[in-house]
Amino acid sequence: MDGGQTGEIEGQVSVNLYKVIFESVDRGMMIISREGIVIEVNRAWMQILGRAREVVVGKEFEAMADVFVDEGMSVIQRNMGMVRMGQGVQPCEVRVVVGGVERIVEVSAVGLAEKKVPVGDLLLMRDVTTQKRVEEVVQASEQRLRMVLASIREGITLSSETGEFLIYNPEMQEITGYSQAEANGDEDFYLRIHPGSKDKERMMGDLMAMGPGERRSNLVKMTTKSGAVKKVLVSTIVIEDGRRKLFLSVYHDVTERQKAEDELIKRNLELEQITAELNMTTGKLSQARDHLEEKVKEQTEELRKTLDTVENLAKFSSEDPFPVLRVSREGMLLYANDASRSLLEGWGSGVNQAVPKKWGELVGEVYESNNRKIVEIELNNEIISFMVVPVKSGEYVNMYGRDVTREKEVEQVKNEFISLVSHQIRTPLTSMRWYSEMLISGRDKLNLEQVEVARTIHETAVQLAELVNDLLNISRMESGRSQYDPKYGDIARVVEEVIRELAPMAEGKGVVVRFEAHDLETFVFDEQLVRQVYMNLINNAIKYSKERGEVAVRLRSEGMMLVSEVVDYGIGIPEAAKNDIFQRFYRAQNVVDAEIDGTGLGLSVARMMVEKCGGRIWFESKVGTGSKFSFSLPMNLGT
Amino acid sequence: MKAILIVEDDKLLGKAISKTLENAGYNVFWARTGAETYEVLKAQQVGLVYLDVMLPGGVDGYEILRTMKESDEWKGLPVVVLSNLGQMSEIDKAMQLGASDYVVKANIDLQSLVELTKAKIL
Repeated sequence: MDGGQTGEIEGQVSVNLYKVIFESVDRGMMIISREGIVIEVNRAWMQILGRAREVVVGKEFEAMADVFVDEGMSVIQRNMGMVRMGQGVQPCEVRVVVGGVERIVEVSAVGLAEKKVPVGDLLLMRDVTTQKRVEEVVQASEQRLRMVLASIREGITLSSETGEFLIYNPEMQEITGYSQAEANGDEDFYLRIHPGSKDKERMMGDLMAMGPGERRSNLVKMTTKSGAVKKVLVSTIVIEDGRRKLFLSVYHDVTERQKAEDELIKRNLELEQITAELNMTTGKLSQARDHLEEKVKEQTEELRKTLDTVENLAKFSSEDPFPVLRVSREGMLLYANDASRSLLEGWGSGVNQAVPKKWGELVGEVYESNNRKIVEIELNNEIISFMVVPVKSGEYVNMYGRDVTREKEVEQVKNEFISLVSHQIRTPLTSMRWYSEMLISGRDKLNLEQVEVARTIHETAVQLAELVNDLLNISRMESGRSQYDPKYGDIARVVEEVIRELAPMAEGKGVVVRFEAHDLETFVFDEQLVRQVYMNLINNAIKYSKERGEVAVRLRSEGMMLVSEVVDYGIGIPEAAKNDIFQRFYRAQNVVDAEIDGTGLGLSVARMMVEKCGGRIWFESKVGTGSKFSFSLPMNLGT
Repeated sequence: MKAILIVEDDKLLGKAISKTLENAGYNVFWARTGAETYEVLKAQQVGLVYLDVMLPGGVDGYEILRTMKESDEWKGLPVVVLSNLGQMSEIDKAMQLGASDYVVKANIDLQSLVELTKAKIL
């Protein structure tokens, strides 16, 4: 085809005009002969493909294959082939590189025929790069929008003015239970999901009245497909799209929240009640606390007073003017008051130190025996008497000191007085005793009556002498001057001596005194005291025996004790007298009636002495049958 | 038969003992004070002494006893304290000083004293 030919018209339109049209259309055109030779291309073609006419015209179309990216050429040829075979085909897209930039070109093949004889092909080309890009962007946007709508946890709808849902996201289906198709297919959808509410027309009317950008929010009840009732917050905004209005609605299911809120309100109410109760309780508590505080105050005051008392009591021993000490059973000094200072200096001991050995032994002995004991010591020209008291619960002994100097002085004066008086009494008494005896022994010079008188004087003198002895004994025992002084000794010998001493008296009555002792070991005892006890008991036994009677003295050991028995078969002790016979000066009625001489002091002295030795005295007796006096002595083996 | 010395300030008691022991066949010397005692002891050969404690003249029985026991000549002589003081302390003291016995006068009959004399003097 020669582009230079113009003004020639074939039929009504000149060839030149066709040429002008050919050149001026914005579609790229390319005419290819049946033989595949490129006949002509227009200006638009050159613009689209970025190639000059001279490069392609008169050349084979196939030679252009490198213009198209990838398989572009074969795509176009397949399209051309299908057009020739009379099949209507869609335009195809190929890609070309123009000026280093890849572009998308839409190619449509058109068969060219002259008088129904195919003469060639026309390829129409259009650059669709920009259009394609826009479409891609739009597609991506839509995709994104869909994703956004799908991911939003709220129901989203976009409705047209007719009420058709243009957008209806999955969450909306989740909320209502209805799909987009079901919603759009149901004329009464609004009434269905909002029973008793407005129908679609009135609803749309309300919405249409809203201005652009106006927003409306309502809390509505919604009945879902399953029949459940939900509370939904619907917010609708009007969007103007050119001439028409669109309604974007956001549905927010607040059922759970409402429940939660209801629950919250309920909880709040409960909480308020609890708070109220708590306040009340707190009030009561506060009252109780006040009361308690008062009580505590009172009791504290009381306690303080008690503590003061206790403190004062505690001071009591510390303020004691005499030594007060506490010593553990093992002999450790636990406490000593101020007054003990000089004693402790003498001991060379202090609190938490051992007391001297002698005291330690004493403490142990008192603690073990569980009997209090009195010991006297001389300290700075004073005589201090200690009461040593075992305290089993505390495993210690308390020692309470007392200044007995003055007492001792008085005691000594008294004792000296008694001694003197006794001596002064004893001397004339001895004269009476001896001279009456001399009268009796010189009886051949006296008549019978005179001898009887002398005998009476003698007996009276002897009685008086015994009374003085007993008085002196009691006086000594009471003054404590008769110290307990135990030594090793043979107790059987002591008993034998006493019996020998009393032999004249026994012989006078024809009484036989028998002595039995079995397997006695020597042990530590106070001979003087024990001798006196035997003396008094055996003397009594002989005295209260019948003429030609018998007295038995028996000794036996019982564990750690020596038990002595003095048995007679004499007058016996009446029941009425049994409680009193150890009383000083007491004499039972039957011995008084029988005119048996006695002072009523013998048993009293015996008991004092036995107890001084750490023993015990007791008796069994029956009137007319006799008496058995027993006493025990600890068989101390000494150290 | 050996002589017996009685140291006794009480006339009645001294007379009673002297007479009784003389009747029992003993040769009896009777001193009333310490001075008299020493005179008799120096002059006579005695086999037994009955010694009272409380004596007039400044020298008591204990002192006599101590003097005797410290003297080579008299320390072997048995001394029986014959007193009306009967406390343990007195008895202990006498025994410690070397008395061979201690008798409370009011508690003994003369007959017993004769028996004791027989036992002591042999």
